[in-house]
Parts: sequence; C-alpha cells; structure tokens
Amino acid sequence: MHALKKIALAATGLLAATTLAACADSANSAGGGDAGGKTITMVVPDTSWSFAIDNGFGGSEPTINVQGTLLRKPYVEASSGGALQQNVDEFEGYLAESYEVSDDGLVYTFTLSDAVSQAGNEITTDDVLWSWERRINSPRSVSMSVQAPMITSMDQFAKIDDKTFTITIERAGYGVTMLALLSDLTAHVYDSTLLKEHATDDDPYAVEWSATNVNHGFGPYEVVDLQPNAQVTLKAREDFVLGKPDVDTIIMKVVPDAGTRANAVRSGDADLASGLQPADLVELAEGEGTTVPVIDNPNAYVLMPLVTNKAPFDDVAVRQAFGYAVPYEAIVEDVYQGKAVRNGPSFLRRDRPGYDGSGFTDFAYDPAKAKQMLADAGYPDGVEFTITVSAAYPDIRETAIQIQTAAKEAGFEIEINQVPDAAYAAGRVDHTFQAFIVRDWPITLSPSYELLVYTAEGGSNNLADWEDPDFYAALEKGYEEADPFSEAAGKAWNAAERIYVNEAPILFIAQIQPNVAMSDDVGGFAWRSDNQLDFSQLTKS
Amino acid sequence: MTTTPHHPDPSAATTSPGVETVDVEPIAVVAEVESAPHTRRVPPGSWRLAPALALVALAVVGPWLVPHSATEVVASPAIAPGGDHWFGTDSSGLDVFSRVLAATRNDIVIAIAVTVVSTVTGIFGGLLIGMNESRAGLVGWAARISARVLDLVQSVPAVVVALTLVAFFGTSLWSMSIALAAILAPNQARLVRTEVLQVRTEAYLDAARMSGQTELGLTVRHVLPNSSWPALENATVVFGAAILLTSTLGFLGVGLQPPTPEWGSMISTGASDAAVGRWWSALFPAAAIVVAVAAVAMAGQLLFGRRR
Repeated sequence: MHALKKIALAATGLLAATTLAACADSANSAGGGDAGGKTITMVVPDTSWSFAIDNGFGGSEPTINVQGTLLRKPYVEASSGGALQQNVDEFEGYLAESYEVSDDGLVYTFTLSDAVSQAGNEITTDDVLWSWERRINSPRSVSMSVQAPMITSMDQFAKIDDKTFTITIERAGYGVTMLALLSDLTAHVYDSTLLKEHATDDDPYAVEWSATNVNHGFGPYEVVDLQPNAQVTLKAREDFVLGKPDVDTIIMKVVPDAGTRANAVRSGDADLASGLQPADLVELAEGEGTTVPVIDNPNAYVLMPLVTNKAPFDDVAVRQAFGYAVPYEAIVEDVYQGKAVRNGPSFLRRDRPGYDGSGFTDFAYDPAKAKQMLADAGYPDGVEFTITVSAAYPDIRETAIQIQTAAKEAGFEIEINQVPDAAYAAGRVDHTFQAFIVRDWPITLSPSYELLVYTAEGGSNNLADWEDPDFYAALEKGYEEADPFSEAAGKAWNAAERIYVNEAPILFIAQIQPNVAMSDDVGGFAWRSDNQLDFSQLTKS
Repeated sequence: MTTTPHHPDPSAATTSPGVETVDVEPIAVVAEVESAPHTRRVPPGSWRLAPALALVALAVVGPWLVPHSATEVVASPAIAPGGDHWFGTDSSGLDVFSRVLAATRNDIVIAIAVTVVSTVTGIFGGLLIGMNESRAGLVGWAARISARVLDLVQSVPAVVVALTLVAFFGTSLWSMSIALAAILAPNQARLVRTEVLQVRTEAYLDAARMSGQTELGLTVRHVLPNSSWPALENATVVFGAAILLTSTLGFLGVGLQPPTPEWGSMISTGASDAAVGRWWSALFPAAAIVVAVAAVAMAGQLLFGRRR
C-alpha cells in the first residue's frame, strides 16, 4: 500500500477511534471478578500506590486500609446525602483501646487493644515504639516532616508495660494536633515482630521489604493480590479489632482516564469511581443508579501559591492586586460546576470559638480595582507572569485558563506552562515557579497544623516560599493556649491567619467536594481528612 | 526498478522511455483544451491541489475568520454544537470551532517547517553519505558509520524520540518543529542515499567525468537532481507525519502550551469528554487532522507522485 494511503488510513482510524470512544459504554469495561461474598470493584486514577510511607510518599488508599493507627476520628453523618464524615475535633480508640491525659496536658498515656496483625501477631508497646523508631530513622520517610514540633524524638516515648506507654509533649497546646496526627496515615503502627524477621544490615527496619510485602499492619483488610499500579485486591479480615467489615472483597483497578472511570460506574462495570471530573460528577449525581457523596466541610482546596522569592510576586502589592484578578465564582461555577464553594479568602473553619475571620481582605473578582492597585504599585502597564500546572489534572488546567482570560482585564498577561507531573512536583518543592495552581489538603485538621502546613520556615512544602516573622509570632500565641479550640486560641488563630490572608502568598480559590461516584447499592462513603476512602465503612446491598 | 534517470519535471517523467503513465486526462478538460487553442493547458488532475490550497489559505486567514477568541473563555463549558457555538465549547468554555480553525495555522506551520527542514537536510545528508561511502580513509569511514546510524535511527519509535527532544528543547512552535524535523530527516536521507548509490553507477556520470567535470559539479548537476526525487516524493508523507506527530505529542500532554489551539492537544483535552458522550471537543479536531492529511496526500501525489 502506498505510504500516503497509509497515513490517510491512520488518520481515518484516529477519527474512528474518537467516534467509538464517544459511543463507548461497556466497551471500556472495568470488569471485576467476584471473589465470593460482597465485592466492590473500584476504578481509580494511577496515584503510584505506596505501601510503605517510610520508603517514599505515594497513593495511600490501599495502605490506610491495610494499616491501622492508635486513634481515629469518629464518623458522623453528613447533613445531607447519607455520607459519613470524620468529626475532626474528637479522637477515639482504634489500635489503642483508650488514652488519658495528665493534668498539665503534657503526658498522654495509651493502653493498647488486643488487635492482631495480618501475620497473626498481637499488638504490643514494642510495635508502637519500633514503628516510631523506624519513621524517625528512615531517610526517605515523609512522616516526620509533619510530626514536628509535636513529636520529634524517641525520648518522648516511654514504655510502661507490653500494653501501656506514654508520649510526652513539650507544650499542652501541641496535644490536639498530636492526637490528630496519631489518627492519620503518617502514624501507622507496624507489626514489628514480622518486620524484624526481614530486617537486614542494609535495611534495618525492613523498609524496602515492606514496600512490596504489604501485609505488615493491623488494618481491616489484607492484600491478596497486587499488581503494582494496575490492580490490587483486598480481603476483609475476620479478626480485625473493630469487627469484620461488611464488604468482603475490594478490587481496585487503575483506569487512567477520568471519563472512562465515570463511564464504568455509570454502566455498572464498577461500583465506585474516584478522581472524576466535575462535569461527570454533576451528570452522575443527576443520573439514575448512581450517587455522588456530598460532605459538609471538605478540606480540599484549589489554591494558587504566588511564589514570593522572585518577581513579580516578591512585591506584596502585586500579590494583593492579583487577589482581585481571579474569577473565583466563575471557577466555582464553570470549572467545578457547583461541586465547590468559595469559602471567603481563608481556609480555617469559622465555626470555632473566638475565630470569626475578622480583618481578612475579602478578595473577590474586581478587575478595575486590581488594575488600579497595580498602577498604584508602580505597574501602570500591567504585569506578565507564568502559571505552571500539572498535565495530570484537567480541572487545574481549566482553572488556569479561566484565570488567564479574566486577569487580562486587570492588566495581568499570563502564560500557562503545562508540565508533566514529575516536573511539576519538583518545581513545587524547589520554588522555581512564579505561580502555580494545586489541588491539596492538610491531612491533619487542627488550626496550628493547617496554618503551618504550607508556610513552615525552611520547609519544602512552604509553597510560596513565604516566611513572615509576624505570622510566626502570632502562631506562637495560639500554641500558648492549652486548648486550641478555646476562645483565646481562636482569636490567636484568627490573628495569624489574618496576616496570612492579607499578605496573599497563597490564594485559596475554592473548597471542593470529594470527586467520587458510587452505584446506588453501595453505601458507607466515609470522608477522612486525608481524603482517602475507608473501606471498612463501605456497605453493599 | 527502472534505471532511467529521474527528472524533477513530472511532465518529462511521463514521457520517459520505459515508464508508463497511469494518469488519464479527463475528457472534458481535453475537449476544452482542444477547442480553445490559445488557453493555457490545465495539468491533468489539478483539482487535487484545491483542498491543500484551501488548507493553506485557511492557515493564513483562519485566525482572522474565527467568530470567537480561540484562546479565551467565551462561554460556559461543554455546550453542545449549535447556535452561537457551531462546534460547541470544550470543558474550559473555549469555542471549539474557533479553535479548530485557528489551530490550522499552528499545525500547518509546524508541518511546513518540518517538511522543508527535514527534506533539505535529508537530501544533502543522503547525498553526502551516498557519494562518500565507497571512499577510502576517514571520510569514507564516517560516511559508512553515518549510513548505519540512519538505519539505527529508524528502529527507535518516533514518538519516544519526539518526547525526549521536546523535553530537552521545550514546547514552543519552533522547538517542536526542530525536534520533529530531527526525527523525520533521517528517513529522507536514507531514501536519497539509496538512490545516490544507484545513480552514481550510471554511465552518464562517467561521461561527465571524462568531459572534465569536477566531482562537486558532477554531484550538484547530475546526482542531486536525479537522486533527490524520492525525498521530494516522500515530502508529503513527511508533511502528514508531522501533523500526526504534533497531534500525538499534544495528545500525550507535551504539545504546545494550553490554551494554544492545536488539533492534537484539543483531542487530548477532549478525550475524557468523548468517553462520557461529550464528543464534540475531540471529534472536530480529529476530523480536521483527517481532512488536512488527506488534502496534503492528494496534492503530494499530484506534484511528486511517480508516474508508472
């Protein structure tokens, strides 16, 4: 066949493939085997699962269902739709049966339950202490970067007996954040008996071994089949300390394309799909046979760091002007199709004592005002800069396009630089971008943690490379309060966040809902502050 | 394969001894020519140039014809085709019709640049290699190594090479053109080199040598015109391949930066939508690629197609 004809044929094939994709439903079958009992098949994006967070960070959904934590945040029902959500201010026993606090609020005494690991070993104090030793001594672990200043060394731990130990903290004001961290994925307790058997001189904490031998925890499920970043099958454990979960088998399949995932749950080929696009969520919420869970106060935000270590955002006046050039409502309505809200310019919950958001600059889209502010700041001809986005997140690219279009009227000429996710992640840490957009959430929801998670001095996660002495001083005043939810603490958090918001190193654009859809016969969607799905709460009728 | 020297003039090629023609002149055209002896004769099958010319015209004036901005949000996202938005809007609220039209220029500019650069460098590269392969010494050795390298390059998938080059040079219009030219030039050189190996054994070259022509003059006057033909013929394939490669890179998310209109990037961003029934943002740019490649293929066959 002539080469020209081949090309024409290939191009026709491309057209045909696109047409077929448009018509596809079950052709994109996620499939799923039935391993006996109740089975839920999920289709998920590729998040590079990591089963040993001490070996490097990655997608944690399977991990949090294989591992367990000392405490957990109790679930309550969301105000509409039947979804469950964590009460992030309270903590209850999980692998620890209970805990007590000393009168001065500095010493926490934990009593362990009789939880048994996947390998059949009962939890002991040695497991807890060894797990902390491992994360402190593992150079690739990301856990300890979020534990400071609450837990920084093994000296804070003391063993009383096989089932009892204490953790001592420096200030009573660290207590709630520590308890929250002990409930989250950075503080899993490992089966040290099993892992010690596989420790070597080169790998004294069996970190590398545990990355591929994943059943080394005390969680509700065990992995029975693992094809890295393609498919994992989890089986419910009869001997789980909180009782066997309702769903016997969970099959997670990686399906890279969001549209195909949406189609899979719509057609019934999958029971649950995550990482969906807003437009698909709206359609699935309105469609028959599918449900899109909604929760009351999600912690995921679309946010835009304006990196302060270089022009033009080293000038606070430019940052503040840009705060008026972002079309917040258009992003909420057109990109997130109502699956997000604008929660004012800040991100802390406003329903806590003493905290009222007073003094915050209420950034809203006002291009005339932004233009005037730019002129007053010495930029009458406007400002040019580049927004970097990851190619992996279409909603973020769409947000950038909305901003590019709207900010032009305010005098901002914006280029969009879309880069592969790995390059994006590197630039985010190295602070090499002028500005970027990210969808992110603080895993632990205590005011001090949330205020510091993107602003810690010298931290790689200091997104805008912004360090402000007044802000850190204001934060200290909050730490001085033993109860972070007291009236006085609330005022201190308000004062700290006021500086944060008004200096505008990061614009908090929209608060977004979980991007999950389920078939109607699946229940028990349980939102966690780490935005991972707790399989042990799922039900299937 | 015929040993008759090729000639760059297609009409001459059709009359070369031993080469049969497959083109049949339309009767109507013949009749018209016969009845109007003073009218310039229209080459047979000229109508096949029309789609390509229309495409080039569209690339030139397209961006000024668009009803909406091709790079700004103009409406709500995911509006179905019809009304103000003939091809609908994409998931960002960009007008698909305007973008398909405006993308013509970017895709065509890349394709023309790639075709010219890769064909010119391919012809001269192939000529150099072919003429020097049988030489002794360092030059001959380098030519033979280069010939093997050309073969080797063919075994590496073009998309992988393109991804690497684009990662290195960036994703501007010109850097992508250079990257794609670098990928497609070796094949052009290979075609020419093969032809040179054959042409340089022809008796008329010996005759030219005996008449006192220098090796350089002989190469330029006789070998170049008679051996560059395969690369010229293949130029339209390169043109189509450049469009498809650009689109592939766009589809893989490493094409031109958003919201620059480019057909492949449009398919990439529209693919997820297509999977859930919002077909228009991917289908129209895909159709544009088909039309463009077919138009160029037709024109290429007319201009450079080998008469048999």
